[in-house]
Amino acid sequence: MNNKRMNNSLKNKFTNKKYILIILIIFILFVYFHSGIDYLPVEELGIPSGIGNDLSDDEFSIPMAIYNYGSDKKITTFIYTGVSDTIAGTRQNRQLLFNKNFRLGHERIIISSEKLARFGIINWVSIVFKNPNINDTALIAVTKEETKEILNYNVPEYPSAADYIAQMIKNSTEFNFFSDNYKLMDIFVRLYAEGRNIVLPYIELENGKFKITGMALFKKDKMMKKIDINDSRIMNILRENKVKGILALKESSKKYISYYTITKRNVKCERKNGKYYFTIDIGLNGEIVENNMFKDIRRNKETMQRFETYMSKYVEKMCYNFIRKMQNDYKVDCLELGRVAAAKFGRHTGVDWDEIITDRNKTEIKVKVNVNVKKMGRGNY
Amino acid sequence: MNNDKKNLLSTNQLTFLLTGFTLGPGFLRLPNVVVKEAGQDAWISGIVGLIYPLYIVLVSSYIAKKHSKENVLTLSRRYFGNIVGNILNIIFMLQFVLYTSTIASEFIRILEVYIVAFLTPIKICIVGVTLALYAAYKGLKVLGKISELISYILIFIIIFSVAACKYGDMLNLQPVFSTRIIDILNGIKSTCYCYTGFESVLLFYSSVYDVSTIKKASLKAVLIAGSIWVWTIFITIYYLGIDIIPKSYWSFIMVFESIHIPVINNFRYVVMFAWILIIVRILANYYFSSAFIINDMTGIDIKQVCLIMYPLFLYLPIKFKDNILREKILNFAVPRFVIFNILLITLLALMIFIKSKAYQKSNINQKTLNTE
Repeated sequence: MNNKRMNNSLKNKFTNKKYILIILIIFILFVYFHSGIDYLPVEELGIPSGIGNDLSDDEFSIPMAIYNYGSDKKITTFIYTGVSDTIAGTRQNRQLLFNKNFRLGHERIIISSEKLARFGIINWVSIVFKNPNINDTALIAVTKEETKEILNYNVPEYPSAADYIAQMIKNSTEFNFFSDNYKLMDIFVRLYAEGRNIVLPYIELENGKFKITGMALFKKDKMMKKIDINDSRIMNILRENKVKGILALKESSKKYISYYTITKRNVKCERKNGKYYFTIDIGLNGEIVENNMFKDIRRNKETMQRFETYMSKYVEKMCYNFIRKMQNDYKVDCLELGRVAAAKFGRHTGVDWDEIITDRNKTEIKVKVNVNVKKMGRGNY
Repeated sequence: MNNDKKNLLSTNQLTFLLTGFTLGPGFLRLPNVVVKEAGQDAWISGIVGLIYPLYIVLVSSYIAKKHSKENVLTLSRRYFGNIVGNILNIIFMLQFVLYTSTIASEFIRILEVYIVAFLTPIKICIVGVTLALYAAYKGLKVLGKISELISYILIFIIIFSVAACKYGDMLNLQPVFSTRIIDILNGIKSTCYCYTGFESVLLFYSSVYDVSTIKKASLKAVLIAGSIWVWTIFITIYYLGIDIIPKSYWSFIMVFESIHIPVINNFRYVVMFAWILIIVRILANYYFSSAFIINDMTGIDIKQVCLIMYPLFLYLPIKFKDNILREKILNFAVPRFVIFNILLITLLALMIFIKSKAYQKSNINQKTLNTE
């Protein structure tokens, strides 16, 4: 009887000791690992909302728009710029002005001035790629003015201009045939891939408001050309898949018809005698939003077919105009046709797809547009 | 009988224990190494390379059928003699020790970059190896349960990578079948580091509750692991394309960044969190195997061996963090270990086959003698 009780108490002591030992070890490990680590509230962290990339006097100038949490729940922005001849060096330089510890991961946009884009974006892309903390879904754009000016611009009721621009680019996909391929991740995937190139929205400050005025075409990592918004619309129709926008046929200043459509794109490629033949099939599917031209389009099948033929011929004409400009003027394969050709005829063969596709003697591009109207609204006035 | 069932591995646990020897941090880099050789047909190399695990598993299940109560260490001593058998066992053990250290060093590298950049390598190593030690200390049954649970988590995570299908393009995989045969063969050679691990079935098949299901269980393991590997290569090429894969050190992780969920900024954080569990599991498995072989050869109690090897496994991974040293040793050791494994298993199986045929013949002779 006594023996049993003694055994039990010994057992209890043993398990108690084990638990105490484990708790002690955990405590020691906690102190060991925790040395040198601070906790900070978010107001004391420097969280950038947008990062700019500039080139000034042969040195990289990287302004960052940092949230400032003021009194009364008001959030404003401070701009801190670091200048140095290497991009990592700008971090050091910026910290000399900065009163906080900056933490990447929440930036909404990374914009580049046209000057730096023409110089080459590979520098900031490579440093951003190395950092695992960067936000891969940040939106990228090219601006006409210096990014410092853009980020500093005070948009009323918005904590920073970067938030405004980020939403602007995100919602640009509603019209103008813009796609959602302007994220940082998309740059990583397109920059040095064979047969692909980067195009980014081009933003300007016009009359005190931000505006997307076109697109910037890149060859590898350098910006080659800025195209205006009409050309960008056609380029996006030819380049992207499942994008939305408005096309219109006009007879006179009062008589026109507008068509809001989603595109579908299919590219086929053939090679005969060393010359490449591309066929781009574009399917337009949409609704008529505005009709002052074909009054009986709903009742008359022939009118509908007339509209469809006119619209497809009109889009084909615009496409051929653009392709001509691309081959004579831009000298960049901005329709990503090289990618289709590489997939069919072999990769890493040493071929420069930009050269081949923009050479009229080596490539022939055919465009076929198919128009389909599925909705016409609730009536016709 | 009930005690046995509690202490021995169930069939499911054997399957997941085997995948727990093969699905580790190496396969985050699998697309990198294979695409370097085979280009966009790397997934073909991945499929053909599965011949190696399949062969090992089939021959091992034959050996297991013939000698269901022993393991490869006692068998090699029996068929090759004591001295030669022990030498072969030592070489067998060396590969487990090597892989434990390289897996732990890969653990440190991945965590250092993606999760805990503020910790020094030795601290990360201590955490990982201590967890592995604790799991290995508890024995094989516990390892089986851990492997089962964590393999379900792994499969769940892999299913999420299907979301990358939306952003990739079939064009990235074309032109198909256009790489030279020699490149595909080189690609198969580079899959060897990821595909090793199935030899461990030779060590543990005697601890399975139902010996007749070993073949089915291990084939299921090859199927699960194989489909995950080929899927990894396929989806990474589909999403990134062969030009971009070499630019990331761990290209499969980039696939997870394509997933957009409203609350989480970057789905990669969830994946890395689950990945820590996955790496600790495979580390514990290899730790236990190294201790198991030493225990079999020297007779020291396995728990004490685990504790004795602890400092070694703290020192080696830190040493292997040096990329150049790691590459040199792995390039030297992995092909040789693979060939060693294949030869050892084939020789063992052949000798068992010959002996059993001789035994049958002598049995028939005996019977005819008796009936006369």
